[in-house]
Amino acid sequence: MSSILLRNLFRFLFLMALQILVLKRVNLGGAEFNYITIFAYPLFLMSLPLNTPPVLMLFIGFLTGLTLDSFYDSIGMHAATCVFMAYIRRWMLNVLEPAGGYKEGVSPTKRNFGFLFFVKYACFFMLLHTLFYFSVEAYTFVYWRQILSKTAPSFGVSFLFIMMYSFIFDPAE
Amino acid sequence: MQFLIRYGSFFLFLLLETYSLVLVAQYNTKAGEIYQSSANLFAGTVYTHFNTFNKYLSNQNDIDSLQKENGELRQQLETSKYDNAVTRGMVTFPVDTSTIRPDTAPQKDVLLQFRYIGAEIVNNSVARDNNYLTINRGKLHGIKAGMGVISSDGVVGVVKNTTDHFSQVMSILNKQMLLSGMIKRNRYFGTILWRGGNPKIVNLDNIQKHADIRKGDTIETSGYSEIFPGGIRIGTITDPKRFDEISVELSNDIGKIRYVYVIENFYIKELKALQEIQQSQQRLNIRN
Repeated sequence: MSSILLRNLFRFLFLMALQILVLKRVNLGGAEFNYITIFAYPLFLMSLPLNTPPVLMLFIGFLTGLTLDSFYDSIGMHAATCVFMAYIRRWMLNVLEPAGGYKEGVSPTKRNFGFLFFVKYACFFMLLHTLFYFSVEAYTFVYWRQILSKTAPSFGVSFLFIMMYSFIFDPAE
Repeated sequence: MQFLIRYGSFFLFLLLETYSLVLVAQYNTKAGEIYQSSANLFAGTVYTHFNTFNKYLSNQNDIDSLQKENGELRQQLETSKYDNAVTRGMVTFPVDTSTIRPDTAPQKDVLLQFRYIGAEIVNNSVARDNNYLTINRGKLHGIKAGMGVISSDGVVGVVKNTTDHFSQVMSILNKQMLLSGMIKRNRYFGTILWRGGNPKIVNLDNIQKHADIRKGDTIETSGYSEIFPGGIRIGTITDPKRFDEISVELSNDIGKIRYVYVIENFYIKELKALQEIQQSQQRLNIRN
């Protein structure tokens, strides 16, 4: 139990540091195509154990978001996104449930439930995450073109990043 | 109780989500900005420590002293001075110096109007719609909200919030930022604003229809606001064709700058007082 807690705490610190100190400074698109943000931290919310109580899940999401907001100067935007993702994760996992069902108490990772499951899971999760984030940033769907032009490249790059990450580290929990 | 267990997480979700969205909506109010920003001490300290990383590569003491010297040199510029000579240019109307009260009588012909405080950027962004920077100087160094920030290449932004050791600066790449800009060649002026997207391009708006605008014209600060002295570079016109959307390429690469100067205007109180008088008079006129 405590090892799972420690693992997640460590993952939280590592992904936050990666996001805030490294990825925040990366500008892949250059000045002319300034639409790419790499999101690595959603992997923390994705990898929380399956039996995390919903209420705890929401608070974790909220705190994750607030931490990011204080470094990104984006008051509330990451918080809103992370709370939404924390809430929607249960449904997403229900929809994606593998034929054999889930093992109790483990994390939804590539090693536990296979490559195909993880691709689908990461794809859904990151797509919703980026779409929600850029919608909150614009705050209205009137700018849907701008929202989509930011969502598409950011989703692509973030998804690739998360797949690479899970191939390199390949954690069970 | 059964109800709470069943729907508790849904209501908690609604509560947290609403709270987050309210924060987003309110973030241009003072409270929202102070609540969560990289100007807060914790985030600022983390960034400062991370930046010391880079500092080892260069000799920080040299940079600090050069920056101080540059600030002092800038103060010597004509645009930093307030011309106090009462009799200058008044040949036909000689001033009766006996009417000037001794305590306000001009002591010197030229007074210093602008002071430049050197600072280093510890956090920056250009990728969002409303971008902010954090600098490593704050209240203790005499920085106040509303002061202008420039770099050696031109205008950077305006200070929004300060803590003891850090300040949050609204970047010129912020959709809420409005700046008075002037064409250097013919002194026509307009409003500089950013519409998002490319962090090298801003727009010049509200300029007179008959103004002669050419490609390559230099845009600089007008000196009409109390924030910036006149003659500080903003950029050059790249696309003069459309009057409603004249593109200006910034002289500053906001994503790259590291050292800035915060401008203190010694006469800001007097200028603000004048504005307040004007506003209260307008209010009176409306009432009458």
